Amino acid sequence: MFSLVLISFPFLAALLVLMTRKAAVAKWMSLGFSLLQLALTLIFWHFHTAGGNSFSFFLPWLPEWGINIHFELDGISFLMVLLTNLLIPFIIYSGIYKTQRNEQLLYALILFTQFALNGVFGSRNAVLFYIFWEMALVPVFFILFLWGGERRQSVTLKFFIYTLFGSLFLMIAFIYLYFQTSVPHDFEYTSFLKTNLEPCNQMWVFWMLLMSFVIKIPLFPVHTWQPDTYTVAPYQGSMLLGGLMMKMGIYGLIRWVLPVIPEFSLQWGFWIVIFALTGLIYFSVIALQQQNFKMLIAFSSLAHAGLMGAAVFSLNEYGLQGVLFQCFSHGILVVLLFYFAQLIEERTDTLILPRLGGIKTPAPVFSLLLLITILGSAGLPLTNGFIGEILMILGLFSFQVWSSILGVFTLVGGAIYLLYAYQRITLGETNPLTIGFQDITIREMVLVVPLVLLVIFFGFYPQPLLNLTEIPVRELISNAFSSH
Amino acid sequence: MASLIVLSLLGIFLLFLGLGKNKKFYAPFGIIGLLIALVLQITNSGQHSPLLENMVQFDSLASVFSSSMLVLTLMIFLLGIEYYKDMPKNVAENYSLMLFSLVGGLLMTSFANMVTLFLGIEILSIPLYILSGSKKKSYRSNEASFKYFLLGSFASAFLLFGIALVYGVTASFDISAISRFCSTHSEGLPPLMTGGMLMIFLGLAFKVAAVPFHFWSPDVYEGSPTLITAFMSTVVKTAGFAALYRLISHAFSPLPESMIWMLWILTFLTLAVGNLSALWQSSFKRLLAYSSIANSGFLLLALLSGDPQSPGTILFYTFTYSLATLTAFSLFFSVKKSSQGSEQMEIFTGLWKNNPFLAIMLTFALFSLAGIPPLAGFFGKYLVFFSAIRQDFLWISAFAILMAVVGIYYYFSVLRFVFSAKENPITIQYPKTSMVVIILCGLLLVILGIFPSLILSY
Repeated sequence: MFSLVLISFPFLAALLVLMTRKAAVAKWMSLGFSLLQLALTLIFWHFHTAGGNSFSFFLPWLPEWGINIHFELDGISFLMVLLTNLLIPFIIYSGIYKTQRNEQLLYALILFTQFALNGVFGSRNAVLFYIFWEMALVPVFFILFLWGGERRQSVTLKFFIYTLFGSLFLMIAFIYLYFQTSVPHDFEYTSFLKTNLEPCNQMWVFWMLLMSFVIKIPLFPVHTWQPDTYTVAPYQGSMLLGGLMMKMGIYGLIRWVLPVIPEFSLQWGFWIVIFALTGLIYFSVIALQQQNFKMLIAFSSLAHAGLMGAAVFSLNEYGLQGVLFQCFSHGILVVLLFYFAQLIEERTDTLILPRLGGIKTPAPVFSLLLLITILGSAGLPLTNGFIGEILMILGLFSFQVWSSILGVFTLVGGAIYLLYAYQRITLGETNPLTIGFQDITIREMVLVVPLVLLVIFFGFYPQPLLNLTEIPVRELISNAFSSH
Repeated sequence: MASLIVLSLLGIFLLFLGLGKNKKFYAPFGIIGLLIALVLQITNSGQHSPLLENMVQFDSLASVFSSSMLVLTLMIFLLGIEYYKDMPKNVAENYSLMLFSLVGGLLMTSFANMVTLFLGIEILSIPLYILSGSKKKSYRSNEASFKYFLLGSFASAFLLFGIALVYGVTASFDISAISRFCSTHSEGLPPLMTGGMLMIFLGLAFKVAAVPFHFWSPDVYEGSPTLITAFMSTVVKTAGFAALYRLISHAFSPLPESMIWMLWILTFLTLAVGNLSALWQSSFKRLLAYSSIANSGFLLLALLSGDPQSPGTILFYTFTYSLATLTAFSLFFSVKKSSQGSEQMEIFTGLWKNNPFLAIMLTFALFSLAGIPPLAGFFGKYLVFFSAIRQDFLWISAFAILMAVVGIYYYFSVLRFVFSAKENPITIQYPKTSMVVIILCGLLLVILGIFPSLILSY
C-alpha cells in the first residue's frame, strides 16, 4: 500500500497543478508537492532500514493476461526512487524564478515524469514496467518539444523515435519471456527469473532487451540521439534526461537483463564491456574538443555512462554496488552542472567556453561551488563521484585487469576535460562579457548548496546508500551467477 | 435481427422525412433510431440461433461487432449535424444511405451463408459508391465515386466467382457445411477449393484495402466528403475484418497452409506499403488513408495468427482505431473549414496556440494511433503482437514492430505542425455536438487504455 501511495502521489499532484489558474501558484504548488513526496520517501527510507520492509503491493489488473499492478521497493529500486524524488524538487526549483510559456503544463509534465519514473523503478510486473517505461518518455518529449531551443522539433523527433524503437523490442522480448514462464503464464518478475530458455532463443531475447536499455542510457554506438537532445532541451529537460532518465536504462539492465538471462550476460558481457569502454574513451576525447559547455556536459555524461555500462557487465558485487552508487551521485552532479550552465547562460547569454573566462574575480563563491561540482564529476576523493568510480573500477579489476585500466581513463580524462572547462570559465582574464558577472545569489544558493553538501557528505560517508543496495546486489549475484 | 429491421425501416423513414425539407430533424431521428437498434442489439445478444433458414446468425461474435459499428455510426451522425449544416439538399438521402450501408455491415458480421456474405458486401458497397460521389459538383468526389465503383465491382466479381467455386466443390453455400468439408479434407483440399478461397479472400482484401488491392483507397479517401471517409475508415473497416474473421474461423477452418502463406504475404505487403507510403504524404486525408492501410496490416497480423483470442483482439483494435480516427477526422473537418478548405497538414499549424483543447484531443488521437501507453491504442498493438508471438509468427512480428516505429514517425509529424511556434491566425468554430463526440472518444480511449478488459471480456 505504501509503495502505491508513494508512486501515485506525483500523478495526483500533476493533475492538481494542471488545474490551477495562475502560473505562479502552479509553480510553487508543484515545488510543495515534490517536497512532500521527498519527505514521504525519507520516511519510507526510515522504515526500510529499520524493518527491511520492501513495501510490496499487489493488485490484480488483468489477471487473465498475467498483468498485475505489482510494486516492490527493494534496496536497488528504493535507491532509484530516492534519487528521483530527491532531484525533482531541485529540478522544479531551478526554473521557478524564470517565466516560461504555459507553466502549469510544464510543471505538471515534470511531476508526471516523476510519477512514471517512480513506476518504472517500483514495478515488478513486466507489462506494468513497460507501460511506465513508455509513459516516462511522453512528458519529456513534450517538455523538449514545446520548450526546447532551436531545431527542437527534428531533434526531439529523432530522440523519440530512437528510444521508442528500442522499447518496442522490449515489448516483444517480454511477450516472448511470458510464454516461457510456467503455466499459467504471467508477467511477474519472479516468474521471469525462473524461466529456462534454450540458448538459441536466449540470444535474441538478450539482444532485444539489451538494445532497448542501451539506447536509453545510451552506450556507444547507439548514442547518436543524446548530445543533440541534451543541448536542445530546456535546462529542466536536460536535468530530467541526464539526471534521471538515463538511470532507467542502467536500472533496466540490472533488473531485467542480468538476473533474467544470466548465461548470456556472462557470455557476452565481455563484448559489451569492450563497447562501453570504447565509448568511454571516444567520448572523453570528444568532450575535450567541445567549445559549448552544455555539449561538454552531454559528452561527459556519455563517458560516465560508458563506465557504468561496463561495470554492470563486470557482474560482481563491487561493480554493481559501484554502478548504483554512481547512478545516485552522477544524478546529483549532472543536475548541478546543468544548473551552473543555466546560470552562466542567464548571466552572459553564451555557453561558448572561449568567450568566457575570469569569472573567479567578480564571482568567487560561484566559482568555488562550481569547482566542487567539477571535482565531484571528475571523481576526486572525498566527493561522491570518487566512491562510485573506485567501486566500479574495483569491479572491472576483478573482471579483467585491462578493463579496469581503461576504466581509470574516466578519472583521468574527466579530470582533464572538466578542469580544462573550469579553467576556461573561471580563470584567466576577465573580458567585457564576464566583468560584470554577478556572484551567486541567495535564491540560487538554495538549490546549489544542499546539493553540493550532499556531494561532499556522500563522499565522506557513503554507507547509508551502500547499505541500501548491499543485500539485494549480493542476492542478485548469488542467485543468477552462483551456478556458473 | 431486430436491429436489422429497425435500421432498414429507419433508412426508409428518413428518406420520406427528406421530402419535408426540414433538415433539423434528420440527424436526431437517425440517432434515436440507432439508439433503439443498439439497445435491441445488446439485449438480443442472448439469442444465438440461426435465422431465416440459416442465412444469418447473430452469435456473440456478430453482436459485439455489430454493436461497435452501431456506436461508431451514432458518432458519425452526431458529427453529421455540423457537417451537413451548410448543405442545401439531399441531406436525408446521405443519412439513409449510410444506414443502408450499415445494414450491409451488420449482415457481413452475422452471415451464416455465403450468399448472405455477398449480399452484405453489396448492400454495404453500393450506398458507398453513391456516397463517395455525393459532392456532385466536385471533380474529385466524382472521380472517387467512379474509381471506387469500377474497382469495387471488379472485387465483387472475384468474390462471387470464388463463392461459386467453393459451391462447386462443397455443394453448399452454408458455412457450417463448408467448414465440415474443410475439416474432413484437412490433409489436402482440392485445388478448386483453394482457388475459390483465394478469390474470396482477394475480394475481401479489396474491401479492407490490403496491399496490393489498396490502390483505390487513397484516392477514394481523399476525394470523398470527409464524413464519408470517416465512415469508410471506421465502420466499413470493422465490417470487413469481422467478415474476414468469421470466414476464417467459421467456414475455412483449419486454414490450409497455402492460404496462411497468402495471408502472410498480404500482411507483410500491407504493413510495408501502408506505413512507408504514409511517410511521404503532405495531405492529412491521404495520411489517414495510408494509416488506414497500415492498420489493416496490423489487423491482418491478428487474423493470420489465428489465436483463440483473435476476435477480442480484432474487436478491440478496430474499435480503438476507429475512435481515434473519428476524432482526427472530426478535428480535421473543423480546421479545414476555417482554413479555406485546404487539406494539407499545414492547416494544423499553431493549433496548440489557437485552441489548446483541440490540440490535446488531436494529440490523444494520434498517440493512440501510434500506440503509446496509457491510451487504448497501446493495448490494441500489444494484443496483436501478443497473439502473433504466441503462434510463433516471430519474424513478421519483428517486422510489424519496425513498421510501428515508422507509424510513430508520421503521426508525430502532424504534431510538429500542431505544436509549432508559428502563428496561424485562424479562429476555429467547433460546434457542441462534435465536441460531445471527441470528448466521448477521448474518454473512451483513456478508459479502454486503463481497463481493456471492458471490451475483451465480452
